[in-house]
Amino acid sequence: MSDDNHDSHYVKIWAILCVLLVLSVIGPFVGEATGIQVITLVTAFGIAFVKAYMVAKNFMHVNVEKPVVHYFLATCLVFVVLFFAATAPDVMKQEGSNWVKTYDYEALEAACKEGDLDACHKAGVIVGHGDDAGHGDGGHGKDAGH
Amino acid sequence: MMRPIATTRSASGTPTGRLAVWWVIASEIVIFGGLLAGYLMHRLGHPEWADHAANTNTWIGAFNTLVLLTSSLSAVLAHQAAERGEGVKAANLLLWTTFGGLIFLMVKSYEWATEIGHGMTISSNGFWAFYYTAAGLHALHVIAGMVIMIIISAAARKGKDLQRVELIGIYWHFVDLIWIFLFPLLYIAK
Repeated sequence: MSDDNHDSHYVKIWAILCVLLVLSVIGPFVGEATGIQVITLVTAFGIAFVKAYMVAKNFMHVNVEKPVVHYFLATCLVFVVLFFAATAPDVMKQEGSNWVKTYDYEALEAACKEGDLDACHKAGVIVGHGDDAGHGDGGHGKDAGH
Repeated sequence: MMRPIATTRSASGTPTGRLAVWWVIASEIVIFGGLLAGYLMHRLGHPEWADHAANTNTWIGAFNTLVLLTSSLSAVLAHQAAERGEGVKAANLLLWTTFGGLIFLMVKSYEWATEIGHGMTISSNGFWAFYYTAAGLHALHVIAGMVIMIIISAAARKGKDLQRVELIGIYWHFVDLIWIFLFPLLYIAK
């Protein structure tokens, strides 16, 4: 390929990435309007993986690197997956095999409504903003043990 | 004249400088991967976080994605120019990439100032803690990349160490790649 062809190849990749970006923004609106959640998931996260692949392959040229580079990049990705698999059950579940979480989220929320700021903090409720509708991480780590 | 070790020593078959950049990226995968995995499991465990995520501005996030994608284009074109020995063109393209990083940071600053002004701070709750930590860590990587690019472009302009143009490009594409995942996680999933 000539130098100009090389450059135009990269411009073409960039243009495709821009089109994918537009789709990833529009998709969730369509998903919300139609009530079909899979559209949101595919356009938001599916497209993110496609864009990441295109950047890694065409801009970073990871595909032409020596195998040793692929091995240690893959090893690090496996470690991330292991981390997720090992810790996600504790975060996402309220009980499991021989363990339960002891903190009472509803009691914390009630105490927060009574004006207990410490309870608000533990329940993850925004204080002094908007309608305080949501709540976040309610002090996980207060597990019962085993 | 002796050539720098980064371009010559090659036990693995990959020039040492490039191998080092890939090692940096491997470690960054664990850092950002751990952070994003932590966010993901909390987000799945707390559907109510969608209420907080609804406050992030999708259009600002999308604009910043466009800025980073465009800066990645100029970075890879700089690499191509360096391959052809066109130091001045590579240096100019790296400066355009740096300019993209600057626009990204300015937009981010406006966005954060607006959110903090509305009371959404890092200590508000779990969602905002992850939001500011992940986006903040990413912004620090943008700043680091910009500083390194300015240094490399100054040398490239004199025709020196042109192999470094590719190395900073790989790093910058990775920073872009991280944002590609942060964008749907923080701005689209509501």
